[in-house]
Amino acid sequence: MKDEDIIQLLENKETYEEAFKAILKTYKEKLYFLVRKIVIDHDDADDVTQEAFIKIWRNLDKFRGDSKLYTWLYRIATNEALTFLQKKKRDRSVSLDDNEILVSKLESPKSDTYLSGDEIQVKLQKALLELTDKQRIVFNLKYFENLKYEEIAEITDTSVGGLKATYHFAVKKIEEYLTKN
Amino acid sequence: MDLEKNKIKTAFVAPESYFQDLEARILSEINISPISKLKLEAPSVYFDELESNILAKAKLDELLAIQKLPIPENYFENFENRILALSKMDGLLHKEATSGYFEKLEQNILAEARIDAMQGIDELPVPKAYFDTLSENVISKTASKPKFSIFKNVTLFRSAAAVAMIALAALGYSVLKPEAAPQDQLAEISSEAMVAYLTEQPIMAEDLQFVIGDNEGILPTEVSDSDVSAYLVENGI
Repeated sequence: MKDEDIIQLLENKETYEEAFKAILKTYKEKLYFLVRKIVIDHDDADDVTQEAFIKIWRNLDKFRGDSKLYTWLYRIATNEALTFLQKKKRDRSVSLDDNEILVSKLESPKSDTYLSGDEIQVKLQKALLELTDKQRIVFNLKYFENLKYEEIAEITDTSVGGLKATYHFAVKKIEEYLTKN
Repeated sequence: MDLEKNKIKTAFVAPESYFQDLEARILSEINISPISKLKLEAPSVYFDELESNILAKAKLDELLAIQKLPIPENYFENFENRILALSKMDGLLHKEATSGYFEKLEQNILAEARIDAMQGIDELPVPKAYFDTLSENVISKTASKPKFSIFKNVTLFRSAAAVAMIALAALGYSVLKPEAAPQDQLAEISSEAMVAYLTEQPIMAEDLQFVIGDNEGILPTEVSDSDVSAYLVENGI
């Protein structure tokens, strides 16, 4: 179903259920991988993705149509992922580098890691873990989702100029890492 | 390495059939399917009372929403004095009047009114020759009235004096008579003889001195002999 059709369904409360099912069907994979690239681990991504959709269901009446549907959905999912990471960092009793655990998950030989691809793809993911959470999100939305800076600005609530600077810095850092490694 | 030129795909993959299960799990999590089939019922009188309940609640909300009531200017500055004044007034309202208060009230008020009326008056009108006769009037009203005195009643005084004389004479004889002769020498003298004797003998002023004493205004010479005789005769002495 197209976003315009879903938005039409959202205009009437009696069709909220139908609208939500359509959202779920259309965006489940996109939102999952968006979250997965932030939290890295599949199980964590599963939890966060479910939480994101539940939050979307509860806030369907808040969508006013002043932004695109997918930017609204991405914003909810991104915030849920960031909240999850912040909570996990707070819960850790041992002081470790924030992304070391995520790197260890990437490098884990366990079969449930759900990591596939060639060496460069894995390296890229490791390089991304050298960035801060926000830098990583901006890079993911720009590089992997091909979103415009204006759309990313709506999702992350950041200025376009700031986003450009952030993305430029992230790219440089990743290229250095990949060159060195 | 140029990332933009050499687009790299994500290395992440999802488990098999993950997304098929994901949809069902999320829908069951938010209970969409069960709710859509459930038929809900309301109590029988619910809708009958609903309107009045909502209106009552709306009224209550309205009252609760009043955050700040308008207060007159300087209200709290004079507040204390007004409360104290009210409490004093309340105390006065419950006070009881002393007994007889209202009975005398009218007189007191009229008296005060008269005093007030006289306050502005420098000279009050006085009857003619008032002050001329004032002293006499005062004396006549305030002088003490004479009490009854035996010395003012002349006839009575003479009679009493005669009796006293007789008694003294008897007493004198009994004292002065010789002891050897205890015999009463006057016993043989009859009363008539005594009276006759006294009648013949004038009563002198010095004889009555013991009777008169310091009394003023009464002179023993005012009582004549004939008066005394007459008294004695009248009284069978």
